[in-house]
Amino acid sequence: MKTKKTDLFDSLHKEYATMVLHMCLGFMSGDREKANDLVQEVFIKIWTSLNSFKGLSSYKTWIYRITVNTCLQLIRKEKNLVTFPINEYSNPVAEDSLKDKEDDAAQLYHAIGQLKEADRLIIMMVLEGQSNEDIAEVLGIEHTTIRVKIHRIKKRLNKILSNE
Amino acid sequence: MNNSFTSIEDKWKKSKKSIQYSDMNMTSIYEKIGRINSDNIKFYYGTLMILTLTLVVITGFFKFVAPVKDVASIIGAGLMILGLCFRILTELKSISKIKKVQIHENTMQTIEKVIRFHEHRKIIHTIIMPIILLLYTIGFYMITPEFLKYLAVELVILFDAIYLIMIIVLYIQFRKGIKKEMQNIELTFNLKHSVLNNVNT
Repeated sequence: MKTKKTDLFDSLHKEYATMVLHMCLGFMSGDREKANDLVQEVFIKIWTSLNSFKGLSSYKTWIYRITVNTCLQLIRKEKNLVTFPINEYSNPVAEDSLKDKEDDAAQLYHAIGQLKEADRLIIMMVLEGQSNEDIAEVLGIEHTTIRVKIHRIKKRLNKILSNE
Repeated sequence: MNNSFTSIEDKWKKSKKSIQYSDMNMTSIYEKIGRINSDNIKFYYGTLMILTLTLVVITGFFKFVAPVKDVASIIGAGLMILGLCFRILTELKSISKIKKVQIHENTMQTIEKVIRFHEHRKIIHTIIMPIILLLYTIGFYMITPEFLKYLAVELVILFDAIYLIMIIVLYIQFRKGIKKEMQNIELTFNLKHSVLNNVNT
């Protein structure tokens, strides 16, 4: 029999799995297999932390926090995160998607993969339409700091993409 | 710059529609969740259980198998048991520190707690563990004279030699532990700076 917790967990998974996948793909430079594993790890952490959710922020912000922390924890675990070159982007992001859209995404993930790990996560949140305030809340840093930081990351990403 | 980033955003918005999380099968996640509890128990309490078992065995040994009678030996056994108790307490403190690292807190809070945890582990490896080992060693050698009354000299020398080897192995382990904690602290500090500071352009 399903409990209240599993119902909530299932609905969070249904609603936010794709959002988490986008973050993980950005972090993993587009490697779908590794990103999928990371998504699973994020949701396992969501499950174990679900009882601690106090409702002080939205579920979305809370899940972003867990996603960012899980990704950064991976760096500590693996010491060095490998940046995957574009030709290793072999696993299509969606089987029924159009080729050019995949190429666009692959190119973007590749460019994002050249940023520092923390910056990858920040730019993914920017692309997902998160406000500066929300990103600052997820990271626990000053709003002004994040504004300057995002500006620099955008500049860096533009530079990488224009060089490709 | 803004215009070019807007074009990146547009490109992203168009392409992200094709990126959907396709594996909505929750079975594997629930299976992993089921394994998490036993893994957590092993992770948090594995060392603690081994240490407690060692404490029980050593206490039992001195109480039932080889009850020492000389004052020096009693003090020695006491120091060995005390050292182990102290070690168990430090392990409990480590568990409480690692449990304070909450994955759902903001990144800075998590990073700060991880740094505090590794700094605590570094203190354990550099200061507390050598003290415990010293207590244990003094205790061990205080018992040796009484053992000589009941055991052959060769056997006591063998025990002492084995103990010496054990100390050398433990010393190497401490060095490795210190190195590992230093690496972790450095890595976490780098992460903190990477979140706080601006990107290199």
